[in-house]
Amino acid sequence: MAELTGKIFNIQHFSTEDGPGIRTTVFMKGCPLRCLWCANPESQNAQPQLANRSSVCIRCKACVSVCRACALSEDGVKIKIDRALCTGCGSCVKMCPTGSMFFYGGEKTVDEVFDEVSRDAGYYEKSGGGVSVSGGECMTQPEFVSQLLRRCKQAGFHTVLDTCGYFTEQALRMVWDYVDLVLFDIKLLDPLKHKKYTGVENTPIMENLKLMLDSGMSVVIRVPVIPGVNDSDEELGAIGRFVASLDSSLHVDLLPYHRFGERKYEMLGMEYALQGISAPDDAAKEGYRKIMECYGLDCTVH
Amino acid sequence: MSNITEIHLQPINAAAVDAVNCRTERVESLIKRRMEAVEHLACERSRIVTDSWKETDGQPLDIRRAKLFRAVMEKNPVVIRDGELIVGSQSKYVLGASPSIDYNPSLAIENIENFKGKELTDEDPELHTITKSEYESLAEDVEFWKGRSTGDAVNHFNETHFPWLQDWARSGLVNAAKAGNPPGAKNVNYGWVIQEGLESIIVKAKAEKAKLTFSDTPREDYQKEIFLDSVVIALEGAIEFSHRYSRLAAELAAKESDPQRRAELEKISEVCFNVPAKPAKSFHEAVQSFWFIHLCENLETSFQAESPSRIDQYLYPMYRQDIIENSTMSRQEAAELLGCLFVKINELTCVKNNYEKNNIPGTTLQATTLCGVDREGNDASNELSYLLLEVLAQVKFPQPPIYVRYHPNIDKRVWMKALEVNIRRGDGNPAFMSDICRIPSFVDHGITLEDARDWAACGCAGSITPGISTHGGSLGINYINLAKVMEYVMNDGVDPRTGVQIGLKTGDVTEFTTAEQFIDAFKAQFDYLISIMAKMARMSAYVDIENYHIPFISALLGDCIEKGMDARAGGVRYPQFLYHIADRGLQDVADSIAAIKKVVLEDKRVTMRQLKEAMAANFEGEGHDYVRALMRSAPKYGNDDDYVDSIFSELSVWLQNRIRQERNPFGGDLWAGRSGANAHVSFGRVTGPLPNGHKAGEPIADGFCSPAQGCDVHGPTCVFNSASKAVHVDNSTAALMNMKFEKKLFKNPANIANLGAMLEKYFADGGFHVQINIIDKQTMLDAQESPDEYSSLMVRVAGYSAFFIDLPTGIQNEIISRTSEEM
Repeated sequence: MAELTGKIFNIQHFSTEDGPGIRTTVFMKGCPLRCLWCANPESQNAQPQLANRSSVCIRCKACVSVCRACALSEDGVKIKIDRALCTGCGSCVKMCPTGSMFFYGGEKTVDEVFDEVSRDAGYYEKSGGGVSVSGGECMTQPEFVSQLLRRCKQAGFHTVLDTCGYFTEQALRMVWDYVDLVLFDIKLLDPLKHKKYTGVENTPIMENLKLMLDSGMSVVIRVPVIPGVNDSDEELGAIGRFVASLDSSLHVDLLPYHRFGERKYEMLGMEYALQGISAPDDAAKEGYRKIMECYGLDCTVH
Repeated sequence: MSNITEIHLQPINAAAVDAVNCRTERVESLIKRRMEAVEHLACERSRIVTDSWKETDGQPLDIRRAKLFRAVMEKNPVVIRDGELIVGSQSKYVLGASPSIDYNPSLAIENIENFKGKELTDEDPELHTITKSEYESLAEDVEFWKGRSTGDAVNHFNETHFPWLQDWARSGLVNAAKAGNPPGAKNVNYGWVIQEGLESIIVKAKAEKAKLTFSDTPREDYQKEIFLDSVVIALEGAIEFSHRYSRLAAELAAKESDPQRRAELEKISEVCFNVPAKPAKSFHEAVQSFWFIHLCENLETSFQAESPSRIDQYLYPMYRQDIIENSTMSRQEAAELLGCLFVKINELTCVKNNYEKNNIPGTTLQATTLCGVDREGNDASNELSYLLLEVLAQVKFPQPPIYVRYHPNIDKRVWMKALEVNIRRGDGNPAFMSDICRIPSFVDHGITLEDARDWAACGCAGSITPGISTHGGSLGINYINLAKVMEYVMNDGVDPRTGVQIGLKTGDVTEFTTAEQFIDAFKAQFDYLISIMAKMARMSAYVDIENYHIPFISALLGDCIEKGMDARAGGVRYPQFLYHIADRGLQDVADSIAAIKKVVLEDKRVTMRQLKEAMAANFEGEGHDYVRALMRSAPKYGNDDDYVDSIFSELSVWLQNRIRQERNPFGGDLWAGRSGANAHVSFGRVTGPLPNGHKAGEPIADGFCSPAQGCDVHGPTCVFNSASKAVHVDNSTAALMNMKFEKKLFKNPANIANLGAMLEKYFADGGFHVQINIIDKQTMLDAQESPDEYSSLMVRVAGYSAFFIDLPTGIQNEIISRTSEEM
C-alpha cells in the first residue's frame, strides 16, 4: 500500500497569528467552501495548480518551448497559460530556471511534514507555541491530519486545528484526540447569505461547533469581517449574540478583510470577485470590536 | 577589571521608570541644538598637537605623547552651553572634531581637499563646515606632519616590505593598502575612575615608580619610569581640563541673572572640581566623571569608537545610593540627566577618511553594553539598565549603539523592556548578544572566568574585556573578502578584475568533478593568503605601535601601570588578546559552491564552461541570464537546508580554526572578525560575478550569519536554524546576524514575547548576535524621495545606527532589498 500523503500548499514557519507562541502552520490544499473574499485562492482546489510569478520571470521562454500541449505563450510582457490545453505534466516547472513557473500544492508524507515542523521544536518550547494545521480546509484530509497531529502530540507539541467547520462527525472523531485548540471560523449566520457568499450552507458548521464544544474541546471563534458582507451591526451582532449564547467565555478573533491575496488570483488565472472593496481602517476595526464587546465577548482584532 | 565592590542589586521599580519623561524642555532644547548644528572641521586640536610635537622634539615617545595630550587638555576650547547639566565639548562647535593629524595627516588632507580653491570666509563660522582661517591652519599643520606621522611610517614600511599589497587592494581582496586610522575601540576602566578618582591613580603610578630599583632590570626600569612619568603628565592634564570647566562654570554663574541657572552652574562648577579628580559622591558626579573620561579618550586620539562598555554596572552604585536608597534624586531627574548625557554622546563626532565615510558612515561606534552577568556569574541587570533602555527609546539618536547581553537568568522585565525598546525605536538599537557562547570562548583563550564575565561590546559589534584589554588597533588590513577568494578559485588564482595572479594555482575548475574539490581549492587559497596577511600584520603592527602611544588611555587600562608599559606596547592585562582579521562574505561562497554542486555537477543543467562564459559576461545577454537564474534557484544558505548549510558551517568552523593558527603581534591567537561596518558594500563593489548569481558590483551578503540579500524565503526560524549549525564565535569577536521585520509584526506584547523566545532559542543553540530592524519598505522609499521629511529616520546597518538619509545610496538600496521577514 502506498504511504499516506497529504496535499499541502505551504508550510509556514514562524507563524504567530494562528494560535499561541511561535508556530509552524501546515496549509492543506482543498476546500469545500468558495468564499468570495478568500485570501488563499490556491487553497481551494485539491489538485496542484500551475501558476506563474511574472515578477521573477526572465522571459527565457524555456517553458514555452518545452510545453508539448502548446498551452504556454509569451505576449511580450509575461507568460500566458491556456488552462484548457494544460495537462499539468509539469515539464515547464522542471525547465523554468527562476521558479516563476510553479505548482501550488504538492504531495507530502506524514514523515516529511513532521520532519519539517520538528525543526522548530525548540522555538515551540521557548514560546509556548506548536504546530497548526490550516488550509484550505484541513478536515478534507482527516486521515493525514490525524496522523500528523498524533505525531506532534507524541513529540509534545501544542496543536491547533484551524477549520471552516464544514466536515463530517466521522472526520472529527479521527482528529479530536490530538487537538489542543480549535480555531473555528464563523462567517455568517444567515443561511441564505452564507450559501451565497461561501457556496455552502451553514447548518453543518453550526452543528459541528456545538459538537466540539459539547465534547469539551478548547475553541476560539474566528470571524473574517468583510465589508458589505458581514460587517454590519446586524450581521456581526448576530454572530456575537450566537457565540455568547453558546458560551460567553469564548474568545473571538476578528480578522478584518485584506487584499493580500489578490495577486494570487492573477497568478492562477482566476477572477477576483471582490474587486473594488477596500480594507477597513482602524476606526472601522474598533467598531467591530465594540459590537463583539456588547455581548460580553473577549475579542481580539487582528 | 571591575573595582566596583559589593554590588547589591535593589529591586527594580519598573512602573516608576516607565513613567519618566527624559525629554524635558531642557533636553528638547539640547536635542534641537544638536539636530540643527552644522558638522565642522575644527582645527584647534590639530594646531595644539602640532605645536606640542615641535616643542618636545628629542624626548621619549611616551613623554611626547603625554605632553601632547596635556597640551590639548590645557588649551582645547572649553564651552558650557545653555541648558547643559553635563559639560565638556570636543571643540568650540556643538558638532566638530579635528582630524587626527598626529596619527595620519591624510585624514586632514582628504577632508580639506574638498575646499581647495573654494571661496571660504571667516564670517558666521557656525554656518560653515570650515572657515578660511581654519582651512589655512589645517593646511599648514598638514605640511608639518607629512613624513613625520605614524601613518607615513606604516605606509613607507608597507611599500618597501609588501609591494604586492597594492595588487591585493586593487583586486578587492583586502579593504585598504594604506595605513588609515588611529587605534579604535577603546574601553578604559570608567568604573575605576568613578570610584577612586584620577588623583588616586596618579598616586598609584608614583608608587610604582618608587618601586623601581634599576638593579636587575635597569633597561626595563628605565622604560617603566618613562611610561609612569607619562601617566602622571596625562592624568594631571585631564584633571586640569575638568578644572578649566569648573572655573568656567563659576565665571558663568557669577554673570548669570536667572537664579535657577545660576544654581545649576554653581553645581556644575562644584561637580567639575571634584570629578574625575576625586571619587564621585553622587549620581550626577558619576555621570559627569564618565563623560570627562570618555571625552578625554576621544581627545587623545581624536578618532572614534570610544566604547562606554558596561555603563549600567559602573554607574549603578551611585544610582542605587541617590535614587533607590536615599531618594536624593528622583527617577525623573536621573532620566533627564541621562537624556543630557545621550545628547553629549551624540555631539561627539570624528573626521573620517573617504573609505570610512563610505563604509561606516554616520556613526562614532560608542558601543555601550547593558545586562549580562556579574563577575560572580549572577544576573547583573538592574534598574539602571531598565532606565537606560527607556531613555534610549525616548531619545532616538543613533548613538550610543546599545548591546544587551542575554543570559538565561536575565531579569525578564529588563529582557522584555529591551525587546520592546527595539520595536519602539525600529532601528536595531538595542541589539542583542549572548553570554552563553561568549564567556566560554574567552576563557578558552586564556582569559580568567571572572574577567570573561565582564566582557562588553566594542567597535562595530565586536567584543572585548573592557578596562583590561585594548582592541588590536590598526593592523593595516582589517578585512578579507572571501567572495574574492572564491573568484580566485574559479580562475586558478588569477584575479579577473586586474588579471594578476594573486592566489594559488589550484587548478582548472572545468576539470573539477566534485563539490569537495571546490571546498579544498577554497581552503588552499585562503590558507596561502592568510599566512601572508598575518605575517604582514605582525610586522607592520610594530611600526604602528613604536610610533604611537596612548598614555592617558593606558593609565586607565589594567594592568599598564603595574607593568609600566603603554597599552599598545603590551601593558594591558591581555595584550595577546583580540587582534582580528574579519573574514567576510562566506554566505556567497557557500551559496556559490552549493549552486555549482547542484546545477553543474549533479543536475548537469549547465556545464562549467557555460557557467564561466556567463560569469565572464556578468550574466548579461541571451542565455547567460538563464544560467544565472538556474544558479540562483539552487539551495541558498538561510533556509535550514543542509544541502548548503553544511558547506557554510564546515567553512565557518574551518576558517575560525585556520585563522587561530596564525599568531598576532603579541604571540596570541589571531581572531576572526565577523563583525561590523559595510564591508559588504565596498567589497561587493570590487567583487565580480560569482557562481551564486551575484553580479559584478552588487553588495555581497551582509554581516556574517545573515543570508545573502533576498535569499531567505522561509522565515526567521529557518535563518536561525541555518546559522546555528556552526558555532561561529569560538575564535571570533562577533558573528553578525541582521534581520529586518515590519513593525506590524510586533503589535502586541505576545508578539514581542515570541521575538524574545526566538532569540533565546538561537542563543541557546550557540548564536551570538542578533540585530532586529523594524522598517517598512515604503517609508524608506519615501525617505529616498524626500530626505528632508525623513531626516530622523534611522537604520541600523551592521552593528550601529545612522540616519537613513545620511547613508550612501548604495547602502540605502541594499537595506531596501534585504528580505522583509514575513509572518
